[in-house]
Amino acid sequence: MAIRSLKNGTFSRSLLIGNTAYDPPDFNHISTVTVGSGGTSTITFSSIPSTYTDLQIIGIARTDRAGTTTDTLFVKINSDNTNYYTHGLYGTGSSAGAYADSGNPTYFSVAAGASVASNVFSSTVWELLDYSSTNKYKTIRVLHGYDDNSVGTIRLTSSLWASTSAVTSLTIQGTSSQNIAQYSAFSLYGIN
Amino acid sequence: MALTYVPLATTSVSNGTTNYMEFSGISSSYTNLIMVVQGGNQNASYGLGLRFNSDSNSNYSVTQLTGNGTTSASARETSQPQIIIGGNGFGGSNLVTDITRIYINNYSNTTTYKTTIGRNDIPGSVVGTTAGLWRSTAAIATIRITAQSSYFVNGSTATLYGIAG
Repeated sequence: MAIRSLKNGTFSRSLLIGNTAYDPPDFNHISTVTVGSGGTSTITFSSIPSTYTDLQIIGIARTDRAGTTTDTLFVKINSDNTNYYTHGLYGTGSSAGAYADSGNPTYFSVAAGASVASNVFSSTVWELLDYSSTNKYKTIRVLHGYDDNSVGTIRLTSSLWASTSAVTSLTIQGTSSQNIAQYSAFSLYGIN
Repeated sequence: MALTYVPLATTSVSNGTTNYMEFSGISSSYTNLIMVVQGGNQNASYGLGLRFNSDSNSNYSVTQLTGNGTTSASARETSQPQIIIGGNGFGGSNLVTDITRIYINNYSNTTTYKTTIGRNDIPGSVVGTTAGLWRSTAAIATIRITAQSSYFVNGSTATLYGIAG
């Protein structure tokens, strides 16, 4: 059956007649969290849809950890506490080195601690590849750092989550009892 | 459906005497910005400089990490008139194009200082990363990328993207 377009009067058997095909965007916003007054101990992105190929979190972070300049935020995938293996490179402004960790939740980002100059936040670009696959372990890579005109760090981190489960939740938290400070903000994106 | 990752503008260098490329009137309607620069400084002893809102005071600093295949190193530049990206050895040529990708997260908030983070590489030579700081709570509306003490290599381009959400 032919269909006539009200837009341009032409006939076609396609329902797209007169219109361009819908091209879903490749980079999609899923959720944004901005920390409010008093801070928070955890930030959770839950019920993450499996419709994308990769996930990315872009954000800024600071903690209330006293006596600390360079603090660390972990991220737990699907509430798992242990099955992570992390390696990284760092620069402190005067020296460069490497680090490794396992058994803890994986590194999400360095964060500016309470001893860092006021108003200074770290920046993070955190990526989780092929997160909905159920037949491979998951690879994470992170670019993160900060500078406060006196101290700072820049880091490249790669982590493995040794699980074949599809990722449905991400929980960002401190390594101890510190809170994530007000104005920290994180946006989760899905990439096709 | 509105796009999330939006190309806002591209600028390029078509001669050998251009010292800077600039994006102005940047909308505050996005959450994060990404600037991608292909090209570099004609003078191999210098890198690029990143300046916001025409602030030329000493409100910028940066921590860098670089590796050249033999050694790794880290350095900091404090109280500078711009965020220095690359530094010595990051000059480009017409044949080897420096690749710089800078994230400017939460660029339009008026509460925090602005921290940039990025990669700046010379293929076949150096890999580098930077964390930069602009000590201002002002929303970023103008970005200028400068070839320090020299000019951009002819053909250098810069593209600014806005990421919503």
